[in-house]
Formats: sequence, C-alpha cells, structure tokens
Amino acid sequence: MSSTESIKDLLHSADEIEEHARKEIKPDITSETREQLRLSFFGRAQGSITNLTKKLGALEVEDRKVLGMRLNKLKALVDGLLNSTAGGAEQSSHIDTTLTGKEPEVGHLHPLTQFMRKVTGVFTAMGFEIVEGSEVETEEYNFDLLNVPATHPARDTQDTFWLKNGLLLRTHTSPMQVRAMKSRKPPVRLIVPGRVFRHEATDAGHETTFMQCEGLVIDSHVRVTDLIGTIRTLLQSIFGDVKIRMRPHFYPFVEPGLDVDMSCLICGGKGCSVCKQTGWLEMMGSGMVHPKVLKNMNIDPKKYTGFAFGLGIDRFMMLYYGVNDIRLSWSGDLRFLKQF
Amino acid sequence: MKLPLSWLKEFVSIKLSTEKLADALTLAGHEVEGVHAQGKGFDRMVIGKVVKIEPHPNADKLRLVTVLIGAHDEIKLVCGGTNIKEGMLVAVALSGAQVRWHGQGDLVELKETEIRGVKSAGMICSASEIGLGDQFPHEEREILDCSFTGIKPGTPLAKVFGSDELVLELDITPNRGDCMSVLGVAREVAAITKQKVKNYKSGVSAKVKDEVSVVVQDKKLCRLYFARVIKSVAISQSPGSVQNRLRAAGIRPINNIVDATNYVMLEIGQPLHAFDADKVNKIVVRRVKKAETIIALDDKTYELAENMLVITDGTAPIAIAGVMGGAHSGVTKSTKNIILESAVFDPISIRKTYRALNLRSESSIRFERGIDAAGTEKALDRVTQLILEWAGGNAGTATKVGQWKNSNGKVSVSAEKINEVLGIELKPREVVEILKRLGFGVTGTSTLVVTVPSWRHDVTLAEDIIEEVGRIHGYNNMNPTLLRGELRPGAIDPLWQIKEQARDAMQNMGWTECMTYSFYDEASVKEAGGEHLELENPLNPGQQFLRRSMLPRLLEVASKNARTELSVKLFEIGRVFHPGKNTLPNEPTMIAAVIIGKQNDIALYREAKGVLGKILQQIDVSMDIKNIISVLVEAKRAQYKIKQNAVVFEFVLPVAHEKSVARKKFHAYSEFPEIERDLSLIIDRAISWNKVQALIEKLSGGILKKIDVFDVYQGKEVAEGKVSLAFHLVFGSSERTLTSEEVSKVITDVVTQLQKHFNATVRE
Repeated sequence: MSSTESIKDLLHSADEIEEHARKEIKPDITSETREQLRLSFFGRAQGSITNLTKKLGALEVEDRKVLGMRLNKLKALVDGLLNSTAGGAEQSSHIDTTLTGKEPEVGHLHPLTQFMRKVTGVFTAMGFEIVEGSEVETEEYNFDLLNVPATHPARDTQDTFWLKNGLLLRTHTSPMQVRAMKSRKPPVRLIVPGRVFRHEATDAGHETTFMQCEGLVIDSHVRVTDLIGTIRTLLQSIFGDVKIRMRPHFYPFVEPGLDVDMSCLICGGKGCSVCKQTGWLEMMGSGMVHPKVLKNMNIDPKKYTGFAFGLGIDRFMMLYYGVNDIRLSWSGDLRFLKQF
Repeated sequence: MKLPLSWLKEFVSIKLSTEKLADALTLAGHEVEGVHAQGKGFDRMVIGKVVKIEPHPNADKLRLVTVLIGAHDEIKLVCGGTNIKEGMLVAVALSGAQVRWHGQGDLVELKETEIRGVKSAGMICSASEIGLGDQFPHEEREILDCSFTGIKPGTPLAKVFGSDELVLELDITPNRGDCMSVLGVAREVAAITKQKVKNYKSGVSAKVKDEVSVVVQDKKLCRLYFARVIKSVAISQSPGSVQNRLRAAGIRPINNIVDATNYVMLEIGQPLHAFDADKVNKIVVRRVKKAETIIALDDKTYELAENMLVITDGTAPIAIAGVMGGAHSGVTKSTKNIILESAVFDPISIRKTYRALNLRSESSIRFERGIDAAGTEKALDRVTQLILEWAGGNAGTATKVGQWKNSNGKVSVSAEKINEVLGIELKPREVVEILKRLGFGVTGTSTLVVTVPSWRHDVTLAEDIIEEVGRIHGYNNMNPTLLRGELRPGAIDPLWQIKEQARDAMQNMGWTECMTYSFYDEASVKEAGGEHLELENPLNPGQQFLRRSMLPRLLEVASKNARTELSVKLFEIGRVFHPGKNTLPNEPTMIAAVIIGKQNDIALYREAKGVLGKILQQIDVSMDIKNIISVLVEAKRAQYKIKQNAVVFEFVLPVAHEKSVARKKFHAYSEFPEIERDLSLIIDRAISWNKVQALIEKLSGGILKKIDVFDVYQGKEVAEGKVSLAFHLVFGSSERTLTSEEVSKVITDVVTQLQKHFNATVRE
C-alpha cells in the first residue's frame, strides 16, 4: 500500500467515484445490475468506496477527518441512488405490469353532504353549535315570528308548499332561529343545516328542494363588522383567496339586511357569463337580527344585538364543483354521485 | 325597473361614469342588474317595405319576400311570419345584427344564410326577437308590423324605436316603494354623490270652471283623492321623444293622454288615471257590493269580490281602484274631455285585490309598496301640464277629497349606538350629514331625533336609521372584525353526529349516498302504509304526500341506476313525516338502503345484512333487524322495473343517544395461536342457521371464537328442500395453546350431534 497518495488525490478519487455512480445508477436498471453495482462500490474485496475507506488509517488526523466526512457523504449518496431505483420492488416476470389496476369498490358521500361538512367545519371551529329544526313548520314560525306579515310582498318571493292541515314545508332554515332561542340565552352562536322547500317548477336553475345552512349569533355588542368578518372567514376558508362585498338588501327578519357577493370564481372578477358580466357572484343573504325578531326570541334588543345569515348549500356546491344543473343533486344518479 | 339615464339626469346631475353610477347604486342597496343601450340593440336593423311575396319552393310555411330597404335597394329574404302582407312596413335585421331567436335565449349574430335551399339576405323580425315583445305583444310567428310609423324604408330602426339612450335595469327591493320612480332614484343618487335633487315646477291655473263631483265613501282605503277635468283635448300620439322614453322604461305608448299619466307615474311614482269625461258624470269611491263585474282596460272581465275598492260613476264600477281602469270609461281616439285621477289607496287592500284578480299592474305595484302622498297633488298638476302641452285643452279646478299629513314619525337614536352596531367610528356630525343628505330631518346632539320624510314608509326604528347610515357610509368601507367573547366549544346535536357516523360507515363499506325528494305520490303512500301528511298545493302528483318511508323514491332511483351500473348500493339518510295531533308532525330521521346486483338473493341478503350489522355497531345501537331488512319480492321488482335481485333495509336512527358518541372499547387479544377448521353440511332448509350455530356453540365448550358462513347453496347439486352450508370455525383460548386433539374432539361432537339433531350430512 502506498502511503504517498496525498489527501488531494484521495478526494479526487472520491469525486470520480461519485461521477461514476451518478452515471451508472439509472432508475430503470434491473435489480441484478443494481446488486452488481452495489458490489462494485461497497463490496468487501473490490468495492471502490470500501477501498478508499481502507486508506483512512494511513492519514494524518486532520486529513482523516476531511476524507472521512467526504466518504460519509459519498456513501449516503450512492446508497440513496441505489435504493431509489425501481428494482426496489421485485417483480415476477410473469406479471404484465401494464395491466390496469383493479378498481377498488368505494362509496361516495353526496356532494351536498361533503360541502355541508366544509361549512359546518368552519363554523364549529369558531365555536358554533350545530342544531336542526323541523322540516314541516307552522306559518307562525316560518313567517310571522320572523317579521314577515301576511300581506308583505316578501311572501311573494317565497312561494310555499302548504299542507292540507295548514302547516307548511319550511321555506328557509330561519324558523329555527326563534325555536333555538327558546332553550338558550346569549351568548349564542349556532348554525342550522337542513333541507328547505320552495313551491316552484324545476329546471336547471330551480328546485323544489335544497339544502340551506342558517347561522345565528346573539351577544352583547355584536356588530355589523363581525358579520362581515365571519362571512369573509367562511368564504375564504372554502374558496380560497376571494374578495367579498356586502350589498344592502331587504329581508324582513333583519335590519340592516345585507347580501353577500363573492368575486367570480370563473373569471376572477373580469366578468363572464356565470357572473352575468358583473364579476361578482351572489352568495348569501344576511343581516343584523331585526329587533322584532329578537323580541320574539324573548331577547331584549336594548341589551343584545345579533346577526343571522342563510346560505344555499346547493349553489355553493355547484360553484365549487362546476355542476351546472341543480336537479342533479336530487336525481340519485350514480353517474353524478360517483364523481365526488 | 327600467330607468332611462337621461331622465335621471333631469333630476340630479351625475358626474360619475355610468359604470361607477351603477356600482354606487348597487352598493347602496339598489342593485343595477344591467345597463343597456336602448339603441345599440338596433344596430344593422332598418325599416323595410314588403314589395312582393312569393311561395318558398321547398317549404309550405315559409315565403320568399322582396323587401325595399332604401330608395332603390331591394333584398330577398325568407320569412315565416303569418301576418306578412305586401305593402307592410317591417323591421329588417341585416347580417351582423344581434337578434334573439324566437325571443328566447341569448342574442345571436345574424348571418346571410340559406333557408331550405334559398338564400336569405336578412330577417324580418318579430317584436320579441328585437327586444320589443313587452311593448308589442304578439302571437308566435307574427312579425312586427311597423306600418304605423309611416317611415320611409331604409330608416335605421334605432330612429324609430330607440335612441342612444342608456337604460339602467334596477332591482328595487319591496320595502323601497319610494324608489319606483325617476325622482326616487334621483334622491338616492343625490344622497350617495352629495348632490341636490333638481325640482321641477308645477302649478296649474284653471281655465274652465268645471269641477268633478267626488264622493269617497271609504276614507280608510282611500285617504286622498284628487280629480280634475280637462276639456277639449286632442287625442293623438305623444311626442316621439316621450314615446321612446316610455319604451325605454318598458311601457307601451298608447296616446298622448294615457302616455302622460304613465310618464308622470314613472317620473314621480304617483299612479294616475284618465277617464273619458263624457262617459263619467261623477266619481264615487266605494267598496264592491255583491257580485259586480268590470271589463278592464285589458278587455278581460273581472268578477269583483266584496270589499275590493272600486271607482264608480255612482252606479257601476268604472275602475278597480289603483289596479286598472275600466274599458268602457277609458280614453279612446274619440275622447274629447277627460277626468284625471290622482289618489292614495291603501297598500294592503290593493295587494289583496290584485292578488285575488291576478292582475298586477305598474299602478298596483306602486300602491302596494306605498306612495308618497305629499306628491299626489303635484302629480295631478304635472300631468295636467303635460296634457295641456301635448293635447291642448282647458283645465278645470282640482277637486280634493280627504286630508294628508306626514304619518311617518320621528325616530330617536344616538350616534354612539349607530357606531356601536355598525362597528365603525363616525363623528356625530358625519352621521347627521348622511341622514340629511337622505332627506331626514335631524335635531339633537347626543340623541338624534330623526324626522322621517314623507316618502320613506320603511323607516320606523332606530335599526332602520342605522341601516341608512351604514349603506350610505358604505359597508365595504368598514373593516371586517371577528367575533369577540368567550371561546366555547360548539356543541353538536347528538343526532347530527349519529347521522355523520352512519354516513361514513356506509361510505367506507362501498355504498353511495343519494338524496331524494321528501314527497311522493299516492301509490307510494299505499306501499309505505300508515297515515300521511298531504300537500295542499302540489305542482304534480309526485308531490302530493310527505314521505313516511324513503324506500319508494330510493327504489325508483336505484332502478334507473341499475340500467347503467353493474351493481347498485345506495343509501339515504333523511327525514320522514308522521302526522302529529294539532302539532308539528313527528319527523324521525331514517336511514334507507338498497342493493341491486347479479348475485343470488341469499348472497345479496347476506351482504346487506352484514352492512346493516356494521352500521348498528358503528352507531352503537342494538335492535331486532328481522323487520327492517328484506329481499324485494318479484311483484315489487316488477313494479319498479328492477330485473336483478334487490335487498333493502330501512330503520329510524335513534333520536336520543345515551352516549353522545358511540365509543369503542379495546379488548385484549389472545397471544396464543388459533386453530381453524372448515365444515360443510347439507341440511333441511326448514332448520334455520341460528339453531345450527347454537348447537355448535353449546358443544364447543367456550373455545369457539368465531363462526363464519362462507358458502350457502341450494339448487340442482343438493336434494330438493335441502341447503348446503359451508363455514369456518375458529378456536382459541386466551390462556393457553389449544391442542389439535381437543379441537378435533369438538368437531367430532359437532358432526355427530348435527347428524343426530338435524339429520344433517356433515363433511369436514
């Protein structure tokens, strides 16, 4: 063994080995080749790295440190290269690996369920309760206690399925606002997910049945800006970095009433056919709970304020997944359901 | 509501671009749904004169028409209009024009084309194809007859029907009746942009002494009634600019008198009516007596119900108050003298009446939402002025019946409260300034006493004032905040959790969730059994009853799916409805599931039963499943057109669960090896598996860990009335390693005893 080889030469050898390794160890080598290569680097008798390691003993302490560190790096590198080749998964030669995998049998949750979970998840994280109301309601709870008088024009836009016994199918999840407050005292934060019904002929954009999620917050000093912030949190949690804007609107059960627009997901706000060239999508109705409604909840409007909102899960879901026909949700068609 | 921009500009100066104006209105609560250039829609459209009509060689319903579209320009085109005549003036769209095919869908650019083998250089349009359907209602396949214009061929259509007028399409919310006019919107624009509304002058000096005799018998439903006679008017068309403006606002021009009433209504929001004074001697406003009818201006006969408010001439109704005038007393071409009406009718009464008659009009919409009674007299003067200008004549003195004072009250609210609710920090003077811009009177410093203007019937509470400040300050100028307060975990309804667990469990086992309607038809009622809730107003028979079972709808969709899918495994979780007594119905939440597949019924049943067992385990419920799972019988499969075998189950998810979440418990597993044996037996079908299993368990002396049937066969290979069963037996102990001998002994016992008790043939 020659002890004349300088540290410089030895480091050069290491570089050569690395270069050799990078060139020879390709991802598609067979496992046989891989094992031969492994021997050529690490073999006890002839391995190039092994040989280099043997020379450590003859070096001065300082040089030994330098080469030692270099060799550690080299070993890790070559080892890594060898292990990353496909040969890792041994394959019997009689398997045609281009055969397709067997489709596992998986179940699917309805996209409305999946979307509702996103929404409820955002709210439960903010300390909201989940409660449910009944789908058949009284006129009193669906309209009167929400400050929608019998003659009010707003009843025009909420055409209703009536039952023969005088009850009705709830047109919104809002009746639960008043019902929930029978057994609660402020501070209250709750959401009411559920099915609602409208008396209208169905087409791609209209359904008799859809899913809504109501929200209600009552506390001392609840502000309009809290409402805006809460809704912004919801929309940004679900849709990412979207802009929102609030637009005054009229709903009898809130005052002030606000519609929420979100920057169009399709065109990013430039204007397209989905947003009717406005750059905005109308997402939900909201507002500060009307003092008359607070009174109907036995809450003193002088002490407490609150906000409420109602969002149509169907519309959200359709925008999110790009579904263009609201009726698909209720079709039970597996060609639809299996996509989610 | 359609609002021509130039009209708005007469009432308020607008410095914003149209786009910015639209945004500003939208963000103040008056959504601008669109801005349309009235004239732009008529690009590449001209008036044409039909010169010659020939049959189309290849189509019975089409004609080949030669049209003159200039002094000498003739074009040939294909037309299917049923009312086309030679000599008629028509609206011709040339290639490049934007039309709406049959008045439906999006605008389409017209191109020169061949129709059934014949070239067509353009299209003769119907009114709805060029956006004039509202003003010129027509039958299908009828083209717009422009002969009334008398204009020479080649004239651009924009000159006839439009201008470069920009029209704002506004969605006025039902609480803001005051914005149903140019003036109303101008007030809003003025408040938003810190401008002043321009006043117009009114005031009429009477030239004739005639006064209309007015009696108002019901002062509750008619608070205020003004009438005035105008003698010797000349009925004709209104000035072209007026007609265009009316059209732009979506109102069909009729004649100068009717147009004037509509014009003022659009302008200041006061509905007006003109009677033919020679057919009406006096005005009596009263409620309907029994069984009266009227032929209204739409030429339809209306049966009026008691308590509806009508205008009569002392005997018969001549108008449905605030809703529509009568045909007989209306202004016609031969009218010489007129009586004008400007009145205030009760909103609720108007609403009830037009709903009952299904007769919604521009007038009734405005009365229903509440008009500004302070403007009723002004409106009468204004319309008088316009009529004198457009139709000549001599005005009489106005008759006034009733009194008016601003019944909109005062509202007290502090600037502090306003800031607190909105979450902003305006100075009191800023609050006052905003309110004053909106026309409110404000006094006081710490507590503001706000006087509501006569046109704002919607403002009665402090919260209404807060909204006014909020929307004019701008909600989008506020900094969003997050909720403050104690952070408490959100409690989740136990039933909600159980539903979610059941959903997850079903999905994990490869089943797919669907949602079906909550109502079904009469046949489903019979199938589900029990008392059902019935709908009063279903839109179709499939909506007549509320479901008591989810299976009928589920089977319907499963059947449809079975046509395209090899196997169907569907479930639904939802409410069903059981009628309650004088109260809300009971609404249990059920889970229903159906499996359709090509396996035999036993295999399918066992799969469903396995799933059912797992679900019950997941939600930690034990129940007798005998009655909740069943193989679909032949007749039912036929009914739902299901060709393969099908198994269904359905049960009520427990409402109150003792443990809020089903909790799993760990059981220590044995470290000692287990011994497996398989057995198969042929046995009478009459002997149920649970008896076999009970016997085996009894004989195995506590070392049997698991018994698992893996094959069930009945058919050609076994004798009639017999079934072949094959199963695994797993033996084990948590204390020691079992010996092969002791297991073999158990097996021998089992074989012997099965033969003895059940006459079974057993093979190991």
